Amino acid sequence: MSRIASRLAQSVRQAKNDPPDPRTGRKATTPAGEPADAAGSVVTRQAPTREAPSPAPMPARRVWPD
Amino acid sequence: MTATVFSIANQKGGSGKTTLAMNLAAGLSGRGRTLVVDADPQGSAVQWSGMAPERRPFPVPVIALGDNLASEIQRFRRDYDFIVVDCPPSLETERTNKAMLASDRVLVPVLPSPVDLWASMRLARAIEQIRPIRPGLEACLVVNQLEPRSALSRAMQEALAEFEIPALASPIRRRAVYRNVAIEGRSVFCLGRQGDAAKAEIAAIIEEITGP
Repeated sequence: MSRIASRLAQSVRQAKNDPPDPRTGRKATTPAGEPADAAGSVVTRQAPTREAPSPAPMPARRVWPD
Repeated sequence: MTATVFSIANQKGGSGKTTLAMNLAAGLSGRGRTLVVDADPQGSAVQWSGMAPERRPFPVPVIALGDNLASEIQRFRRDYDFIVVDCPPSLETERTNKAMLASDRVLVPVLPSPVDLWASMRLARAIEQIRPIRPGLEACLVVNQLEPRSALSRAMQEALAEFEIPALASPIRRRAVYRNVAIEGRSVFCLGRQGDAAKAEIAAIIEEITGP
């Protein structure tokens, strides 16, 4: 089974075994299979925030001779 | 005469319910008297048939039904061989449940995408809950907009095996003709050679769902 097929099947299995509450949309476990917090909230992993890179310096404007 | 009733259901919008309903009905009309019931308040099936010019109407009558869906379907069973119900994209209203209760078979179109598969799982559960009340209700997934070259489409088989309900062997590929016929209020069965592949797909589905 390819990696994508395996992940897709796993995600469907998870949707089957741990459906979100239709009223609140909350699940009993986190995507990693850990229990959700007391309020039932699921905190998904997020990419670490990074400082926005400074803009590249503008190239010096060349003045072409007429 | 007692009609076989097919509900086309999925609470996910854009899964191809109306496209499947209209083309399926047009194909079934070659086998017996067929009716389309538009149970979706958006009225897409009615609008589809309304696009046909008067001189060349859609080959199957299309009627919109609302709250008294189940009793009306029962009444129409006497007059038709096949009834195709286009369900709304929601499980929150009672219409989809009523339609499924009045049906012999539920067809669930699913797109080869994770989001669609996750959403379809909820309908699969709803069908399981209905089965004790409606014994003998059959259900199957219909893979729609399959793109054989895409990795996700090829990965569908393993994912579909996770569902309690089986998938038809005949998928529907992603084809422009399915969208084009809606504009003209037609079905793929009205097309010439350009519709041959689509016709063969719908015919294969009809063979599967009406077979022994």
